[in-house]
Amino acid sequence: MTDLKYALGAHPKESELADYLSNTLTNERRKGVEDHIACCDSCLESAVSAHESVKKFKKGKPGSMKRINIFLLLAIISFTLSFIFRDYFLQFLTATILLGAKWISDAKSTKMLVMIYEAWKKGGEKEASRILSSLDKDPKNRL
Amino acid sequence: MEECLQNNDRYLIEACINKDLAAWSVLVNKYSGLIYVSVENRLKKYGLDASSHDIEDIKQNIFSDIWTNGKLSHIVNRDDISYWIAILSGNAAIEHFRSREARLLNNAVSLSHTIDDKELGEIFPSGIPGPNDELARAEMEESLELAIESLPASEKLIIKLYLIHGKKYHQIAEFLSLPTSTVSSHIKRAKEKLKEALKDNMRGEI
Repeated sequence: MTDLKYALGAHPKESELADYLSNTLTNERRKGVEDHIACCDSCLESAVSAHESVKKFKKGKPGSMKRINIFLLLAIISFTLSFIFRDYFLQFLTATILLGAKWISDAKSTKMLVMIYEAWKKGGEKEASRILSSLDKDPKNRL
Repeated sequence: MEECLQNNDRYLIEACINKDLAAWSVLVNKYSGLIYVSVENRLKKYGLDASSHDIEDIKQNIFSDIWTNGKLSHIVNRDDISYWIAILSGNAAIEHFRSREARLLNNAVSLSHTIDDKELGEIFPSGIPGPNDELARAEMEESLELAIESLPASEKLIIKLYLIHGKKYHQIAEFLSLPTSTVSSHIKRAKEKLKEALKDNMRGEI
């Protein structure tokens, strides 16, 4: 029991537990975290789960984007078909619009914008002007 | 530069702290999958199956919490934030379900469901009760829990990883950043101690 603070309750911060898992703590702090998770079942469970999840995630990385792009692909196909089958032009065009809407609402960047908008509402004027000024610069050029 | 952003989180995080939207969208893309996996994995341990709607909600909350509260600026070790994200996600998942599933979340991972009988038989010198004898099994569980709590911290941690979380030697070694041989000798010693403690316990009862 080197560190009573850990052993007696105060949970280590999430970032400290993370540093423990990536093995970037000093020996003393390592021991502190170990003493804590040996006694605290919820922190141990949290750490074990995170360790498993990161491993699982790094193993099978590609994949999650596929479903979203399917809608884009279908929208394009239906748009093309609308020109080929003139008789059903409107029907195909409607399908294109629906599929396109689905694609846009699923796209991660849209979700991000919604999130930013919420931050904006909470953060007030100052936050808003900062976000707008960074929006002005074309993101593509900056990456 | 793109490659730089993809492989090392340091620049990405610094840009996000400066509220760079492009960097933020890279971060969101990079870690959405991890949040998904972490939430699912953590809830599975409580027998909860999260709908994709729930996971989506949790994900939104995590990202907006990180963004609005400037959580990234508190991170010291910025080379890889996967573990941090995974821990945040797991905890947020528990928080999210706590209100709805209070009864389920009160009892954490239970012993008897995770330890297999062969392992139990090795530890309990007098044999183990059948799977249908619930009362006897509950008693056995309780005495095993007490015995585990009596171990010194380092052995307690290892034996919990081994018995309760059902980890293999090499997985424990990875978790604790120790060589596998050290882990196996620690486990052997801890098991001997458990056996000893449980023997005393039985005698005490008689």
